[in-house]
Amino acid sequence: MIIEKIEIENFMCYSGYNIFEFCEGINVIIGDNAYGKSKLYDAFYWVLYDQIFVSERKEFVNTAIVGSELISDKVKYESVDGEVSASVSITFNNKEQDRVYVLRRTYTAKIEGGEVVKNNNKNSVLIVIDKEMSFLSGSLIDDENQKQLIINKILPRNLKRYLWFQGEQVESIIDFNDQGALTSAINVLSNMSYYETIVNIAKRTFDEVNNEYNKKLRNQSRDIEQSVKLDNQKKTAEQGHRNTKVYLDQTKENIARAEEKCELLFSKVADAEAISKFNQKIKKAQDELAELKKLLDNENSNFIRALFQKKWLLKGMNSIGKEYEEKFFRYDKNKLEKINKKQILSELTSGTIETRLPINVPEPIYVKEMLDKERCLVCGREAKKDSDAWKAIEELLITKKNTADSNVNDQIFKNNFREEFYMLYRNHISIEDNKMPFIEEEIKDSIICRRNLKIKIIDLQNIIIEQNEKIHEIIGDSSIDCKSAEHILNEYAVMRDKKELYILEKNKWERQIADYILKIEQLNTELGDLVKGEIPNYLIEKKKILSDFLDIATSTRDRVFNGLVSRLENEANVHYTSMTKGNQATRGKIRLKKLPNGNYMPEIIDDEGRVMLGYNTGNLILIKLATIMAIVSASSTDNKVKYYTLITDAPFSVFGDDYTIGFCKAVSMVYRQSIIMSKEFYKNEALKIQLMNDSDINIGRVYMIRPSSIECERDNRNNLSTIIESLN
Amino acid sequence: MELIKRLKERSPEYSAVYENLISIFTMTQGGRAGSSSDSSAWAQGKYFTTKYEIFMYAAFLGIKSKYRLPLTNNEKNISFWEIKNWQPVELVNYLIMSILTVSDIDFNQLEELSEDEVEKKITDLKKILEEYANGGFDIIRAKYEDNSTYFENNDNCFLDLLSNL
Repeated sequence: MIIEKIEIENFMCYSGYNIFEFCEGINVIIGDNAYGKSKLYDAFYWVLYDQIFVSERKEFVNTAIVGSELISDKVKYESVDGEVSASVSITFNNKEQDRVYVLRRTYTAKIEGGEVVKNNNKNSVLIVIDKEMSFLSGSLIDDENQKQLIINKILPRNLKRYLWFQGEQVESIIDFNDQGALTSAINVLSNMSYYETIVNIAKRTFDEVNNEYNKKLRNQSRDIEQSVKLDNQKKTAEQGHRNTKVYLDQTKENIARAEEKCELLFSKVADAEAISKFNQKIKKAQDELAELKKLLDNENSNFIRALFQKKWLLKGMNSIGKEYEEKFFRYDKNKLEKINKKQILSELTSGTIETRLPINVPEPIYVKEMLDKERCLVCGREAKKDSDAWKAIEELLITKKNTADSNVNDQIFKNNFREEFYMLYRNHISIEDNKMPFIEEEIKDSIICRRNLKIKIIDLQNIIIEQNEKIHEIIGDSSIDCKSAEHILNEYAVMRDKKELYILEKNKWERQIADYILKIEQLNTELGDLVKGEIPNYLIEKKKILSDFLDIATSTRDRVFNGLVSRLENEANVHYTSMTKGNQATRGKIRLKKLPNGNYMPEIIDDEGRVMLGYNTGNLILIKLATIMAIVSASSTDNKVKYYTLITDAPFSVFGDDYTIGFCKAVSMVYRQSIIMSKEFYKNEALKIQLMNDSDINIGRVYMIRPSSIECERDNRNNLSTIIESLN
Repeated sequence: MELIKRLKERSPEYSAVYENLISIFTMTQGGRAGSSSDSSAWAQGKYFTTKYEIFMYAAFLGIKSKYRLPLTNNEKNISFWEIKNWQPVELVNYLIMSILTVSDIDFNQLEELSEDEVEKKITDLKKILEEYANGGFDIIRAKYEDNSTYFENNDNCFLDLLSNL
């Protein structure tokens, strides 16, 4: 069955009459976000099922709910009174059976005064025409059941979810956490319910013969009372056995669920752990960075302060100090000379002439020290207390005291600024000795210290950038983010603990079951011992045969099911290999792992059967798409599925270029006809050229779609229509 | 009679022309001298926390580069804190020592002057200090006008300015 064309009139953004014609192979509709791809998908789905997919709700909703939203805004805007309609018509061509089906759905709404009437029509109308290709006219199908039969012929209900789907539905189509997902898929391949029925019949007939056998045992007892008692005990033990088995099954179910959850999380744990590790590094670097910035600020402030506090401002000022020193000594010498002249004159008149040292040389403090130590600090000779030498030194102190007396100064000068000049001189000497020699070194040390801090800060900033880039790389490749990373790790730890607990519980139930089996065997022996005479052979034989029948029915069902799983796995791997062919990354192989509760879970294994971890969202979607294709291709032994068209919207939105092309090649192999809506080829010219020219891709029709709106009309859809351009 | 003590009683002046330049590099909140902490000065991109700091810096810069620029009467001059309030005292004394050194004042002669004459000499010393500071401000201005990024991208700018003379 091939879709020949779809004609769309005033349906959503497709205002006016629009037509897409298709042929065998991959038909691609290219357009950017919001250019009308999903609305085209909706158009297909609406015709067959009277529903459209609402992204906000992530579900299909009926015409009754969306109502006049189905009709193009442009048409509604341009109408004042009367009726407006949206209609979509699809032409299916069944060449093998020489039949053409035309399905046309129409929805009409009333407009009054330019506004859509509330409580408008809730129903759409579907017209189905069935005609033989050789004839021009066909017959209009009135009967609703007949219409549904034709729809089911076009797209069988059990295959619908694997043939027509939205990209965002892929995860839920093959939800391996859903117990029935794989069974549903297996049922597409083969009718498993047939085998289930046989198993049920086998169980029932065995139970009947078993009851008959037990009854016989009781009736032939030597001690009927004891037999009844033992039989009751046996029934109680059997009931206990059954109950415990139920508990065991429930526990196994819990283990499987925990395992599934763990497996599901496990693919994210590596990423989450990496994100968590990078986050910890960032946190550590940020703490260190804050500390270093504080240190640098402090060092910078100190650097500026040091200009004043450590006197760095005086760097290179030594010469000024020397000049002052000379000026001060010159002044002091001149002053002393004047004082001495005056002194000598006075001593000459008084007859006591002495050689004088300059004023305050040596300073009184040193003179006192000489007296205390009884030694001249100038010549080093001893000057015992009260000796002539000691007295001569003491006289110097007294003379100095007299000389320092302002009287002498006052007699010669109007002002005495010597103390102040001397203070400046002492200040200069103190700075010269204690500060100046270290200024260069201190500045150098400070600059090195600040430079080192800055280097460390840049290093830490780079570490933060680097770790953030690594995190974004992981986020880009997986569906987790920083926030969910910690959550995943916590949830994984909880699930792992739960699994351990369930395993302990399972062991407990298994021990109890073993006890019950032992008990039942003992009771059977005791009951057998009470039997007088023999149980008829036919009954023993019958019981044995029906027991074997039950075993065979059960094992056959399991074998068929496992065989189908294996077939599905093989097919999925064919498609997985094909889709990943152009990509250089390690691919591995899909394995459908059986869980304790009988469910299956996909995992990627390497060539030695080891599970490969850390595959990303792209891989997961790929595995699911491979499985979806496997369901279709594995069931094509009867050449049935190839009759149907794959229609999918944005299936490879999480793929890179290589996976996208790989998907197209695999689709070419599996589906006779496919219609794919995609934005991947919109701006990527190289990818578009590869799509249209690769010999492994059986390309059909390719269209580019875009909205008609010009810039000033983008605020509403009142003039919106869609431009369709055929690229081949 | 005291010379230095009386000089320290004086409030030097600077040309209003440099008011903007001073405010670029100096914290001036809280009155004439500013009272900001060192770290907040750094955080605000300022190098000096008080006006007397930049004045002292300018004076040393002028002395070191032997650039003495008289204040003209055409411009308004702004006076600020008396020298006795400036810190650190050792540096203030070193500055006064430098002024005394570069001036042509004869110390011995000074001691023979009358009180009025000494007072005049103190005024002269204050003027010398102002002129060297004015020279220093002019060097900063010229550098800033020539290349303002010199002060923006270099934490050591004021130290380098002193060293590169």
